[in-house]
Amino acid sequence: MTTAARYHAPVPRPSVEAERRKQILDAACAMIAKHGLQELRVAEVATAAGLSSGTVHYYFDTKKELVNAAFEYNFANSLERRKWLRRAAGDPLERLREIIESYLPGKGKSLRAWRVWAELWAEGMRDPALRAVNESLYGQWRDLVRDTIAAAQHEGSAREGDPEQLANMLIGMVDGLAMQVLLHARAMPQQRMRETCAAFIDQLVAAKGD
Amino acid sequence: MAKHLHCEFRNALLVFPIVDSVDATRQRVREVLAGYPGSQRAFAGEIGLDPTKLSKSLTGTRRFLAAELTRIAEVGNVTVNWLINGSDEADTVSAVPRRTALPPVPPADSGRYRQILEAAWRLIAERGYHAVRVADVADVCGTSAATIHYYFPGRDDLLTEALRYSVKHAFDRQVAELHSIEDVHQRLLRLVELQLPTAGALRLEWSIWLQVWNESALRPELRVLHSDSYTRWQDTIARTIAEGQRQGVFTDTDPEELTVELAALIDGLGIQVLTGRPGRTIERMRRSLHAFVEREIVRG
Repeated sequence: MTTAARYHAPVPRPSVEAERRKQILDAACAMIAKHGLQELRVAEVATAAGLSSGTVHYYFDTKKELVNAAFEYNFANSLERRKWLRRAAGDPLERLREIIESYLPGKGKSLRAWRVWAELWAEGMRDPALRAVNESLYGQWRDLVRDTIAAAQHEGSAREGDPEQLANMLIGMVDGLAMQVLLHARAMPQQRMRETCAAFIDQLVAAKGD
Repeated sequence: MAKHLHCEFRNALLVFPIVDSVDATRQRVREVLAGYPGSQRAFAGEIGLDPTKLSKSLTGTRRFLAAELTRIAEVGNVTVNWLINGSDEADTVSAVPRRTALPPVPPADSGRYRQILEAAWRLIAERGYHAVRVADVADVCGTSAATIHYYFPGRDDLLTEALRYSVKHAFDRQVAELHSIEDVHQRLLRLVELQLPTAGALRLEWSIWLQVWNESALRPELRVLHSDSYTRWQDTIARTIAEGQRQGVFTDTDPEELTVELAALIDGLGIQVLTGRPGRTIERMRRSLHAFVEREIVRG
């Protein structure tokens, strides 16, 4: 038997820690998406994770720490789910279409992720620390889109133009459309967002046929 | 939404009054002044105009600036549309807000109502809706919570009225700034310019919007107000594009599609500016929007 078991030491083994942390952050994201950041309570997160508030505090000293970690977790998850896309072979323009498609706020996980981002942005307007978090995370997403556009330009399947600006425009439009989808605007169902994004890529990015 | 936009096109006459209605505008400002409870000097102070300049503008040796008309509309509790075109509902450069998206007609003590509303709007924009208590609004106004409740019975009313206040401001500002720009390409660029989240009132309005988006995502009962307000904004873009197409200045792409893209682009780029590093700038947003307009809307 290990020393830990015999003395009932409170520190769990590393893999359990990682798992617990993940459980808590998952629950935090779910609560932020469901009730909004302003209504978030640590006790509520604990319950959703099936843990005690004390346990949550063991991992996150303050609510602010928990919230920051949740935002990072949310983003890291999103990127992770799309890792295969970043390495896919083939026409980068097609890859771009698939990347954007994969980001549409659909059901379940992607919708929840979007809600968390939206909450991050609203709070980020007032909190410089969150802005820094957003900028570093979002910068990675932006780089991915920019690099994919640049690769497509290199292959000749995308028009000329500053890939960074084109990426900003595409992402900007995706974000704007998503906000409407999130609030269930009748004028902007997910399908319409899909079509608008596809049209935008065709208009702005794709090389014109000969 | 598609049907609604098309109806707006067909009905929009887009008649722009000739600018000798400057006289009529001046007359209407005099009317507002006549109804003002204080002195002309006090009025000048409230609208932020030097008293001498106010006099000159009233007698016709000087023109009111767009920003001044916007302030006069606010202090006088009228719309810029009425000041310039003689009617709140006059068909004009900016889509007239639907009834539900306008502030309610305030009670007799409109000065007090305005004071509270402006305070609430500012606090919500600066601190976030959930952090603003009725007591905070009362403190800023030097009044009691009971008075606040008189004008805003429910806590939600603070947020919904703050949004309506923003919508009215944006509408007034757009009419004031755009009505005399005959070149439709320039008008579109100016319209876009007015959306940039520059420091001050525009940034505060953006803050309200971001919060309304999130609250509406959580609470279905807020969605009608949001939708009315947002539709109004899109209509304003759409009618500008439609006019440019009629004049042959803009390409023939489906105006509704262009409107949806441009509105969403503005929203998303605005979010980037507001939530990014201090360096993630308004200038970049401006350049991206201009690039979109030049690439996708302008013919040639």
